[in-house]
Amino acid sequence: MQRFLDPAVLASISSLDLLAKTVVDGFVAGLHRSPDFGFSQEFAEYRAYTPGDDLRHVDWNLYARTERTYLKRYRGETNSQLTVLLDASNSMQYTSGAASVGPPKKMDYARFIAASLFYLAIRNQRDAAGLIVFDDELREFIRPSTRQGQLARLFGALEAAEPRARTDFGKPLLHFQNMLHRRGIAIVVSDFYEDPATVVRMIEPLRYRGHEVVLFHVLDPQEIRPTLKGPALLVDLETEETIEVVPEYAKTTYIERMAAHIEQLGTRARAAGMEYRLLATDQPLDAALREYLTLRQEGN
Amino acid sequence: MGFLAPWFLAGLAALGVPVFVHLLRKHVTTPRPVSSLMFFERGLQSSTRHRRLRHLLLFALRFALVLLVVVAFAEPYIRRPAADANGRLLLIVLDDSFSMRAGTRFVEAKQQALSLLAAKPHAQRAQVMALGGQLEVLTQPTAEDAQLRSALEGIEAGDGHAGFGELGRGIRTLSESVQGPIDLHLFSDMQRTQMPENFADMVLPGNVTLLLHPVAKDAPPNWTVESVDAPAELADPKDPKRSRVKAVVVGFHTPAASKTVSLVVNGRTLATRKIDVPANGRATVEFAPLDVGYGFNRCEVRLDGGDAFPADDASVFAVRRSDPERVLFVHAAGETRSTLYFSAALSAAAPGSFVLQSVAAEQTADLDPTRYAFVVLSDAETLPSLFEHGLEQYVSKGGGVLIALGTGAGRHARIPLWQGSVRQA
Repeated sequence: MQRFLDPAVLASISSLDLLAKTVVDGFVAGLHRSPDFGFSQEFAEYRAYTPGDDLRHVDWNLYARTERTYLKRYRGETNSQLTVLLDASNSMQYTSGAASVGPPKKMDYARFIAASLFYLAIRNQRDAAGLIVFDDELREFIRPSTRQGQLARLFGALEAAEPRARTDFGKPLLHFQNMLHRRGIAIVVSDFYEDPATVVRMIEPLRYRGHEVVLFHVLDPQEIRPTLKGPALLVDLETEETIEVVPEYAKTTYIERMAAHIEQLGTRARAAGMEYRLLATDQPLDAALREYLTLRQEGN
Repeated sequence: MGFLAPWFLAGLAALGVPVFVHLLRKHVTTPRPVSSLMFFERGLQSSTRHRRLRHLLLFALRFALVLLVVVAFAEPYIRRPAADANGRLLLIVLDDSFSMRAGTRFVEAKQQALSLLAAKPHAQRAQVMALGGQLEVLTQPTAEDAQLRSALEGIEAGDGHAGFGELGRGIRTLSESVQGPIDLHLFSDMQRTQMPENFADMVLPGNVTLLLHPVAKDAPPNWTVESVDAPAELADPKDPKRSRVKAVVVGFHTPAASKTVSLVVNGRTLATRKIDVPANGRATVEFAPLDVGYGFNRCEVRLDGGDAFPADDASVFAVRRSDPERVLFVHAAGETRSTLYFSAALSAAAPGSFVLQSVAAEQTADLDPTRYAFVVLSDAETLPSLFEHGLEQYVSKGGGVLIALGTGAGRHARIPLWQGSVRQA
């Protein structure tokens, strides 16, 4: 089933719905063989009753035998709330591959991730799922919900999200903080062409509000280790600024700087209590789904 | 400043080649989109600019190279100002050759040279040379006017034949020891005969500037005895073949004229002839027989009729009259043709007169070699011992013997008088 998670294969599926179903079904089928994962009504622990706890969760059978009130806890017993923050700036439309060959655009890869997460959350976990599309403005906001038709709305918003303008984390995240009152899982999907300190500083307030934050750093393999055969004139997709590059520079200094950027972003994110994962667009999507389930299993 | 070959400046159009290469044929790169130039900052900018700078330097070098090649072909030169007279050597060369005797040439030349010397700045160094048969250095480079003037005034017209080749060689030698520029002022009648056979002999070094002061605008007419053909030795004044004198009279810049030519022997005029010399042409005159006394005679072919160069109107030569000398020619018995050959060769080649006495080898017993100018042994296989002994004595006292070996010598182990065999010889 792993082949259904290959981005190059997924790129040929035009329907996000079908794509997400393919990914998630394949992923879940693989999970059933794993003892580390489980959800729904699996018993987790007993906890002593404290005033204010919901009496519906008291194990009355145990009370009858012991005359003590305990709450019976299950894994995944509570529905979580998933919100995907999708970067739709111009830089996300970059791909090193040609048409139908090679890795997909970073934007498409981000769509695959978001669609799969939504499908997994709503259909499998009964979680509420929402979407924020942003560049330098907040372009689309779908409040997390489990209502009928939520998945279709989310897929429609993903389809409509076309890259444009520049990335600016400050403004959309401010809205995000104001809109999301209930704690949950916030997954930021972006290429993070910004100073790591700035990124973390802008997203960090979500942690203060009790959100579990995951940074999915989507990059094309050519952005990590570029290969230039000769001097090239590079054009910034966001600013349209041009610059000449010699292969020697791309082989040495650029790779060092990009590695330092990735390292710094990961370090700072983890230091701020956030999860960080680098996703190359030629990698399968299961890493992103596995990350989500891991967080959810921890009780979020 | 100027250009000796200005047409080569048309090659400046070639400067368009590096311009075309560097400006019009700029490297075209297809723009390649990237997500962000965040990591292409100062370091890359500077490296790109450095590459461009290198290209500009290459362009400048190529441009300069083409420019220099074109300008070099155009042969630029710089006319140095005369203001730096203190650093220049004033070299005065006065022609004192024989031709300068004509009219007032030498006086005029000397006067002009003295005027030049008087006009020179006091601090400027000068040197005086005389060009006659050879280049004569009269002073060293000096600023002493009195010494220079004295040297110039001391020059008198001589009998030598000046040559510009000799002048060129002397100046080239001088320039090796003199640093700095030299102004060479040549005061001469600029005769064509002063030109050397090889034009390269006249080439002057690059630091020498030649300034000519010709003193003979029009060459005067001159008749001269160009050559004299006369025997150096004369044995028989009545010999029609040898007893005669032939002279060639030639005229330079002369009209057709009738000239009188005399043959003078020991101061006495023996004969006089009248010849017609064409304009700028030659005429031949012959005196025969040449009746001179025994011993050396001072002879002279003299051309009458004055011109500007009286010294070349006569040509002096000497004729010695003597009796013919006897030569003993010893040949093998029965072999007589060698005598004929040797006699013909002797009369044709020898300037003197000889009488050949031919005898067979076995007939020489009573001959005395000392009575002959020299002795010839022509393939003589054997000699009488008495004659051979006499020959040995003759040679030891300075007499000359020519031993000619022929086919007969191979049959005998010993060569007469030589004291050895053919192989040892």
